[in-house]
Amino acid sequence: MNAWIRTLRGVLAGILLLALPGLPAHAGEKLRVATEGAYPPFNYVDARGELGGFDVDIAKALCRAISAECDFVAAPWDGIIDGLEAGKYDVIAASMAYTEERARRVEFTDRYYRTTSSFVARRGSTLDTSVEGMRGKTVATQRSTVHADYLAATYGSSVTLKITDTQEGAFDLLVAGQADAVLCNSLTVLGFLRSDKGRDFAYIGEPLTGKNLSSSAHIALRKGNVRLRDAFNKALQEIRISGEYDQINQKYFPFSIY
Amino acid sequence: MSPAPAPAARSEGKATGILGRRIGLVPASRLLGAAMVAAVGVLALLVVYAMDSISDQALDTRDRVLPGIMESQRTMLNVERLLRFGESVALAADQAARHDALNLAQTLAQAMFYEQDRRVSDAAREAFHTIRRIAELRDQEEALLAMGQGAQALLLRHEAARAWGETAARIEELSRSVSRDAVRVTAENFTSIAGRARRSMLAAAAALGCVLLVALAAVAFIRRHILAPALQAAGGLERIGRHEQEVRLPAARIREFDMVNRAVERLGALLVQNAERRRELVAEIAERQAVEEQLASLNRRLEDLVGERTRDLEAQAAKLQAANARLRDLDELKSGFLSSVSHELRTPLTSIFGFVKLVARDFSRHFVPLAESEAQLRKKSASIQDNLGIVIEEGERLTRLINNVLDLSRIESGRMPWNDRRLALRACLGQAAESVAGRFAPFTRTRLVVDAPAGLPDLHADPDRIKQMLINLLDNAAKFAPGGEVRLTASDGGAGRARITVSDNGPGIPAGDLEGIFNRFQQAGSVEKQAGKPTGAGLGLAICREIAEHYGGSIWAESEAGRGSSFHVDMPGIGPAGEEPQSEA
Repeated sequence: MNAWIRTLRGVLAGILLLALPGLPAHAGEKLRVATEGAYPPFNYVDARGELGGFDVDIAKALCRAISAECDFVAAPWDGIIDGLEAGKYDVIAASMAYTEERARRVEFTDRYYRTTSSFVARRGSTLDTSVEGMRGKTVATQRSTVHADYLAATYGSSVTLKITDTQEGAFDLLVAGQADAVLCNSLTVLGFLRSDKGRDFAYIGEPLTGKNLSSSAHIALRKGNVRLRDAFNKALQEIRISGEYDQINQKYFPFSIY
Repeated sequence: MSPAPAPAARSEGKATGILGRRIGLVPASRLLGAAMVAAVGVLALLVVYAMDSISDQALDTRDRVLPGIMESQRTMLNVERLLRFGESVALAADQAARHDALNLAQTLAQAMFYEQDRRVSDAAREAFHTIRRIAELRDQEEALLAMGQGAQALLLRHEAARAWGETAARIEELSRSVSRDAVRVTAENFTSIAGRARRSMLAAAAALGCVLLVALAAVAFIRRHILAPALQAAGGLERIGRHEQEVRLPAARIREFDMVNRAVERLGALLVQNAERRRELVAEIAERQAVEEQLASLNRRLEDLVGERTRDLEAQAAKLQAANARLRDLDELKSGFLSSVSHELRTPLTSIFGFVKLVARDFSRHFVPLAESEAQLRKKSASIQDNLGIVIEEGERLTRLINNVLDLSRIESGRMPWNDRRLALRACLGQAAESVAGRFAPFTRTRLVVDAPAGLPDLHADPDRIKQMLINLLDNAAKFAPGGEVRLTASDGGAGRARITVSDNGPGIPAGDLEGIFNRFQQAGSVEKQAGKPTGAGLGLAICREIAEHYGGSIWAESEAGRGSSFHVDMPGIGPAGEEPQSEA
């Protein structure tokens, strides 16, 4: 009789063990999430001084989905990966676009939104965004972005590149007339165009898709943290299915940006 | 997603009615158990397969259908928004609103560059530019209106509206088509999923059917080969128990049940036999009881009979005792009678004898010489002497006979006084020979030789009787061997016994008479006839035997016809003086 009970217990334990993967693997895990805080509407510092935005909301939703405790920190965009590597934080949720160069240094989750990149100039501008058309023009963009790389790679020295620390800085240059155009992702451009500052500005030229520029935004984790990466991917699917993603999406954009 | 497992041949190895073998209960139950386990295993596999299939289909739904649906939903939403924004651009009066809508529309159009459907992304690209142109037209229109050129403004307005109408229509048519496509793809997906589900179900049903078959086969097997025999055996046992009759049970496929059935049949047969035996036993017992009854009654009768007999016997015994007493009295009487008679006889006989002797003597002394001269007187006197001699002889013989009769009677009745003394054989023989000297030479032609060596045992006996015995023997020898030789010898008979032998060379005694001569009144008839005259009474040898046997000895005769006879007396002797005499008890 005792042997029977022991066997039964063993079998039950085995079954439970098998079921374990179903349990939240990261329950109670503490994660530090870094974002720039200067890239509205994706990440910014709100009126109360707290970090907010699409990126932050998505990150919060994902953390909830994996039952981890996430704290948000602001980090300058330039060198944000260095901070991750140094262990200052565990996650970067800052609309980081996928590049191969970056992928060598971090683990990227699946994309959590997509966007094209566009030039912005004064309304009615006849600026031709081809290489020839842009000769001699001034284009502003944020440092260490794919846009900066693209501009440098495509236009080389025929345009004057003005690199700013923040994207806002680039728009300010445009508004101040110190730049003829700004290259940025269109969703951020939308925010600028709909603001007071951007009243007189509009898209010019042909939008650039992923063929020209990396266009999908991913969450970055320390290289090797595949467990967390897979967990975030699964969580991303979950929030998409549950409708939470759409909720967050609708909060910031009147259309789906996935 | 794995295909349904092929149902294995489940009836392998089971002893069904098709196979003619008889199997044991243990192997059969093992097979059944294995079949059950296999069926359960198949069921478990089925369940797992079903679960797996469900999970597959759920995953399929999630991975193929759901994204498609979500994608098409997203597209629909964006298309709807684009149309709304575009419409605003085309129709809104307020420039600020128009510009806002333009920005939104252009941004949205850019987002739609990534649509999977090439038609949609192309349309979005076109819309990006078209909406911008429409916005420019509207701005121009507004400017013209501000300058008062209403008609041209209206033209522009119409142009804008027319352009937007075209675009919108195209986009709408596109979106409907995309929607239809999406629905179709989804339907196809679900159909394929449903198809796979149906195939899984069929496989599961087939497997389940097989399992059911196995179960049915097992049940049928159990019913036919386990339950049925068990019930039959039970029924048989019950019948046996109730009626004590024989039962016949059919053969069972399973060995153990067959054994049980045979055992039940044997039990029935045994019980029937037992019943028979019981009846026989009862009958036997009844018989025995009857016999016992008989025996008992016989016993009782026997007791009565025995009682009767005993009384009879007792009466007879009493009678016999009385008779015995009478006999003894008679014997006494007889002996007395004999003694007195013989005594009485002897007295006149003695007188007769004596006087005849006197007469003979006197005659021969006084009258025979006188008759010498006369021849006739001489003849007559001789004849008278002969006659006297005969009377004397007969007288002597009668005397001897009477003496013998008396002696015999006395010996038989135990009245003979036995004055036993130590006797020397030589002396006995000598005295006996002296007594019968007159029968032998020189008085007759018969010679007597006496041979009594020394060193022979002595006798312890009555000398008169011994002498009497010897004299009888010698007389007989002399009588039957006239002119021959008679030897009287004594010898050692061995073991302290003495042997006396009287032998003659007469005609002998026929073998058939050797025993009988010792009986009373018996003589060797033929010899007597030869001799012409009876000379004895037949009692001599009887007396010799009586005497010999009195002293524990024996007497017998050896003879061959024509070659003489030997009479042997064997008697126990005694050793030299001082030893215990050996006398009869």
